[in-house]
Amino acid sequence: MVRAWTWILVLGWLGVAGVARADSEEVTLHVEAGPAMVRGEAPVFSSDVTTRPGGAGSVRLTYGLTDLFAAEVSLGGAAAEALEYSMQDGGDLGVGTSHFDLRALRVTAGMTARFGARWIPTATVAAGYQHRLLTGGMLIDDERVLVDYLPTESSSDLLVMAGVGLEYRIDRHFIVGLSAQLVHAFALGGKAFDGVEIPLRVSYSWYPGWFKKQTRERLDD
Amino acid sequence: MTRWVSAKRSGPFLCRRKCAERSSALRRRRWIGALALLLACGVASAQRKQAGASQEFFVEGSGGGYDVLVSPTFVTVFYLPEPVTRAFGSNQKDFRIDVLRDTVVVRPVKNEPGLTANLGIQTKKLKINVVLKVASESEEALSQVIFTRSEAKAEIDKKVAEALEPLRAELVAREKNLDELIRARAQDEIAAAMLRDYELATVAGIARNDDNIVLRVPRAVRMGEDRYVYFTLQNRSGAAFVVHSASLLQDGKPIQARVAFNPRADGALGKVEPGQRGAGVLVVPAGQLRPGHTVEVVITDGKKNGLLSAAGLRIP
Repeated sequence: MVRAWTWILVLGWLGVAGVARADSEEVTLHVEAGPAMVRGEAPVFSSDVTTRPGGAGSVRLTYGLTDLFAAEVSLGGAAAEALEYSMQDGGDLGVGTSHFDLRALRVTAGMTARFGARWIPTATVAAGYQHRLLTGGMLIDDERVLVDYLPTESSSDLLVMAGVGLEYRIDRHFIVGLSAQLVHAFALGGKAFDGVEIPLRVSYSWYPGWFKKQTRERLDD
Repeated sequence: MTRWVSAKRSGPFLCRRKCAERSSALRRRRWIGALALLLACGVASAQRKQAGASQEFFVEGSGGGYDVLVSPTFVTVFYLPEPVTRAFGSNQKDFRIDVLRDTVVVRPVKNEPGLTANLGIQTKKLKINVVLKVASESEEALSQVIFTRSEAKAEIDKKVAEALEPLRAELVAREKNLDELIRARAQDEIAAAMLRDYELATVAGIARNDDNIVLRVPRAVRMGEDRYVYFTLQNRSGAAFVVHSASLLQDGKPIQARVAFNPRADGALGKVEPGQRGAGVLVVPAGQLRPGHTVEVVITDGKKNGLLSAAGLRIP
């Protein structure tokens, strides 16, 4: 059943693609934010994993390289409250639940395929850097009484993202859309991090002519 | 089937004494008239032709019957294609009939509208019967009736065709040469203009409208004193985009420019199907543009929301 629904969604996503898919030379500024589900390993005491709802958002800038592909850069972040890992052996502190709040800041670059004109199915891949902070660390006992504060942990990640989305162009400038993206962070010396994000976006498009120059050539040049 | 023929009378009365000498002149006129009729109308096998007070009948086979209105105020002369061997009337009391070689002259004696008589005319090969009827008004009557054999007409057609053939060939050759001359002249003009001044500019103009029509103005050429602005239209919508007009503005004022667009459309400048592209060229004659000022290419589809405009373009 799940497989059938997957196919229906994929075909529907492609079905709304228009006959033309040109956004060449067009620049689009996206502002997006939405819920996220993050999954991270405990930074101290163990390698336990927990999953918590949170939020993510970014500002993205895309440039239409061709009618189909747009290059993009993005500056974004993610946050989740109360990532808790139970039954953590804190040594001298005893056994309890470790508690952290996630804050992540990321910079990515990627490529988006845009399959439509009015309705625009999209597929995006991106990679970048993420700096992750686990703040507000504390160890609490079974009665949820603070045992001790834990130091803030930070991690540098190599981030990869992949997502699909559906956008609707309102007019020549404004686009709204929704996407779902998977995020995986390869921690550089830390613990791994994954996320599923569903940002809603509002976009503004225009033709700045950044990479087009007005040149002149004479017959005798 | 026959019908009464009326015509306005013109010209002087025909004098009987001069009939003979005039008949040869009229015979020539007959040929000239036939040629003129053929050239003017191109009608090959008409039975009757009306020409004022004169009427020509084309006689098929060995003869035929005809109706002619006559008047006592003037004579009606019948011209035959060969000498008349016999002419007779059914009412010789009221109609005077004279025969002169290939001519028969008829004149009613009494002015009695509606009075009729038969006129039989025989030649070596033809037998013609004419019903004469006195016209109520002299303007309705004919002064001249010409009988021409259809074979003669065919012969005339053939001669005319033969005469026209070299003219036609000459005309075709001249038209062909004219195309070549025009092409050669245009090529010479282009070459001369290129030598005077040639500049290819990358304009890089681009714009789109709410209907997902993308206007691009990639290049413009200055050749001699004229400018050529190339533009494309990409239709990303689901409906055909009809190009109503393409124009050029400078400082907000329209510039006189001709435009060519492909693909073309009936009743419009062009039409771009969904998912397709079209291209056009705006031709700006010399002296239209102010140097140093940018221009704007404006496309309309006849609807307000169809306006497309790419501004800030620097044309060489």
